[in-house]
Amino acid sequence: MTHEQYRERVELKFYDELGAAEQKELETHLLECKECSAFHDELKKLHGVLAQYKPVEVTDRLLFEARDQLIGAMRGKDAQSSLLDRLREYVGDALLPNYKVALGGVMTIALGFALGYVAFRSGPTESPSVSLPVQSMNPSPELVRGEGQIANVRDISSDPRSGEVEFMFDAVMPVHMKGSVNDPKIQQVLAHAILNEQNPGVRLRTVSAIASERVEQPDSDVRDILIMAAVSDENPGVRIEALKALQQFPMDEKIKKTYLDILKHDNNSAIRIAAINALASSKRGIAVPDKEFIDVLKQRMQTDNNDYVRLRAKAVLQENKQ
Amino acid sequence: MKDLRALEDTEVIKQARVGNRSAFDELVHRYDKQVLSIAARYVNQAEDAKDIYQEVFMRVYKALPKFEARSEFSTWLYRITTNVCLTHGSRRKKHSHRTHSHDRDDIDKETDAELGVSDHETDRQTLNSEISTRVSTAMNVLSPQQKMVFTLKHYEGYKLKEIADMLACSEGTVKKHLFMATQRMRDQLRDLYE
Repeated sequence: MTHEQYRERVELKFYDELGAAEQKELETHLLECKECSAFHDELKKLHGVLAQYKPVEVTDRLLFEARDQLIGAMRGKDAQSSLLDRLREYVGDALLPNYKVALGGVMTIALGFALGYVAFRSGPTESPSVSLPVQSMNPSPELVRGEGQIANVRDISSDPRSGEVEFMFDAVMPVHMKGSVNDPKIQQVLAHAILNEQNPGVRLRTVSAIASERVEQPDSDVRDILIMAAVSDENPGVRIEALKALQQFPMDEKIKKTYLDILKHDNNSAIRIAAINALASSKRGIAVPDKEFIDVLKQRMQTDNNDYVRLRAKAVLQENKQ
Repeated sequence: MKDLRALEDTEVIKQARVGNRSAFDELVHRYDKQVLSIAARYVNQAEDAKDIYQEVFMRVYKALPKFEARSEFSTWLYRITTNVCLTHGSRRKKHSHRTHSHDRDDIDKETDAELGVSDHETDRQTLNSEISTRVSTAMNVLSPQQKMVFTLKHYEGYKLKEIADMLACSEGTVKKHLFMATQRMRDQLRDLYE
């Protein structure tokens, strides 16, 4: 074997990729060869340096954020696919070879008429909005639909055989919803708002609504979304409110772990204080404080840069010793 | 979802292939931490790692109906992950889901002010030691393949055979990239340990 090959083995040794026989052969060579031995020592030092490098860590928060971003992208993709499928289906039916040219002309004229109508029509409203019929909804929770807005009228086409015109538009319809926070339908909408609403004020009020009501029928999905908000919402106000809302739920391992994770990782001291208070107030739900619970509190007691967190951690630890 | 959690991968994949979104979500939850970890270690940037994560699972969702189970699902998934990493530029794509406009920043500030929550600490950055910065810089000098092999081997701890499967190449090629990466890291970091 050449020195070059032994040096490759030295590298593989550091990655635990050598068989027993190869390792033995290498060790024998290193005892005899100063150059390869020096290479071994250098590589050892290099690995020491590399060990000090800490790449980005995958925290629960980062994972939550990535999942959240993916959910949003998937939802957008679904909506896009649905529209494209419908368009493809329509085009497949309509564009028979003999009619292609004629239909192209008719569609262009129809599009011209439609655009002209939208642009120049007179009327009391400036924007192209129309009233949509009010539909009766399930009385519980009470739903009252308001007027819808029509926008982005597109893909206008007409069929000379039937005289029908077909087009697509976006309809945005305000929906007024009223009901108990314990109603699963209400919970579903609130959960959607916490996850997807871009305005932090709305997210904050949504979480506050859950926090202010007594949750009689704890829903694990709502709990998980509140956990996600408490851990990963970028707005500290929302995170604090989510922590308050979580206290409405019976203490379980998942909630306890959330409090501990926040205590360990959240940079905002106000939120760490909220987390330690939540832990203290719901400690009856923790049958036996486990090692992680004690370790995190000890660590906070010793290293937290906030005086109050350190004092609270000490107090909670003492309470649990008694 | 509860039932799906009890199922073996093959059954979950079968359901996901025919468009069961819950099954797809279950697959994501089983493997996504590792995908994010590979991405994060490779780009060493949280935002880029999230972009890669999203791109990986969008591609998986699209390609899953064609997945023929000739290899393990995890190998196939990590192969997609490494491909996306290798083709990922340093550009920061605008998020499709959560946009950060000036308006939103203003609203955030207002909301924080209303609540009296200090955000000083959230701005606190982790201090990078000189060594960490130097290693990071040295890694960025490697070719994408060298960097990928080095990351998977050194920081993720995969075996050479597994890396070869992920990158769809021979073990010999993986070794070649690894040796070259180590050589270049030595050249750039020598002054730190001599």
